[in-house]
Amino acid sequence: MNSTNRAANRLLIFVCGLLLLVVGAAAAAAVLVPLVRDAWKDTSGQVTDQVASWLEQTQLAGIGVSWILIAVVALLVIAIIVLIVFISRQGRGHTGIALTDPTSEHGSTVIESSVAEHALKDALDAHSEFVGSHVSTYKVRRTPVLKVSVTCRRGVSPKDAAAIVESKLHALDELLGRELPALIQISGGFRARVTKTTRLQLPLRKKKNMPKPLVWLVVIAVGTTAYVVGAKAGHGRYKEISETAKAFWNDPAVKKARARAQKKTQKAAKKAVKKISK
Amino acid sequence: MSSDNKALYARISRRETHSPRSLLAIVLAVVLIIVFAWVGTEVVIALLGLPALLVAPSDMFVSALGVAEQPAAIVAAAGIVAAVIGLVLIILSLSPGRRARHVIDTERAATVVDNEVIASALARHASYAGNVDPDNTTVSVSHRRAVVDLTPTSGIPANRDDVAEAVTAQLDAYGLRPTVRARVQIAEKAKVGA
Repeated sequence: MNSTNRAANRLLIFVCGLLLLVVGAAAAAAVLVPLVRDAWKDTSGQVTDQVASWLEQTQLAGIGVSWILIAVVALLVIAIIVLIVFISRQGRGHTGIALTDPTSEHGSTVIESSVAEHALKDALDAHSEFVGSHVSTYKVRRTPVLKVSVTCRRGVSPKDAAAIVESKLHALDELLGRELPALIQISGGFRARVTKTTRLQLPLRKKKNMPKPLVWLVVIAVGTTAYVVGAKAGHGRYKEISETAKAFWNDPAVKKARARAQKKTQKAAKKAVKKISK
Repeated sequence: MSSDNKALYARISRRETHSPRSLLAIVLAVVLIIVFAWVGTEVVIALLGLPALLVAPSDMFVSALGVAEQPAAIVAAAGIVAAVIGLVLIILSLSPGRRARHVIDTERAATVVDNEVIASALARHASYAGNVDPDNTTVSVSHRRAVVDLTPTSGIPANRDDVAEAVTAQLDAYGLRPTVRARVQIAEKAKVGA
């Protein structure tokens, strides 16, 4: 339902796969096949010389640094930005507006999607066939489309479930005076086979919303940086940091401030106790 | 249903019954971002003339070209593993990635239903038709086939034809796309209790 660009997803996976396949196969062939190995050794020397001469020729006058390397860094930064945009584009397409009436002489009408969502959810929750329901609105090809997800109890016929939801949709059509396109998604919470006789029907655990990909990205980036910095700095640096922290903690000025804060909290606590005991 | 909605519903149904491959794409993108950021940092550090974080760019370049001189067993193993991962990724990027869902013909909306729900409903009808405890009924629904397994209660025979008829009638009533054919298996050894 969302507007995720699936072709882009598949393209990225395909390109990564092709790259891995080619590089892996080339590396394996370079050590396993004698013919390839000799050719590899011949060309690798040439390539090294060629790249070295390029780097020589492209030195910038002032700094003595090849612009090729700067261009490489710039390309990497652009690639990273493109990938971040790619990740943040996943799973979008929610909309808050279900209907917009064109402006007439009396004004225009906008119906928010929450109206339809709440109306449907209320109607569906009254049915014992469903354990739960969730209604959301997405924009598909610039048309707002309702997505009605219902979780059925064990053994409920999908046809009956669809019929119930459809009847609610028809009621909504009458309410809105317009037919909103809709998707009904019927899922089940209960296994068709249960090892022991079921006496108690446990409610289905609700699927937790996955954190957005960007959050993961930040977490991973921070973690990696911390790890690299930590690994680089080593134990000596850790000792330095802990010494600084200890020195700060035992600093006379900090000690005083701490004592003052302690007194204040004790006073406040006494006051509070008095007030309560009154 | 207008013809306009038909195209819309076809698109939605197709997207809902196939995997977007988002998770894999996001994981790959994150890996690429980390690698690019690291290489970029190394290049900048090398340009500034500072010691490298992990590997200097020149060393990366030289060791990548001199891969033929490295120990053959390690390089071959790593290369083959990389190639296999690459092949798997290519297969994943080209395969349809069907989800375990079916489309139901409905009038007002596009409807997709999890195979699990179909199996659950079939199990209820099969156990009723076969006079078997619901917990002794197993149904598994795949893309084009539903397999119904019944273990009768000792002393009460289950009629295979009755069960097959009931299950087929149910499947016909659902109007699944693609159509699902049922196969009923009744265990030879009955048992008492669930």
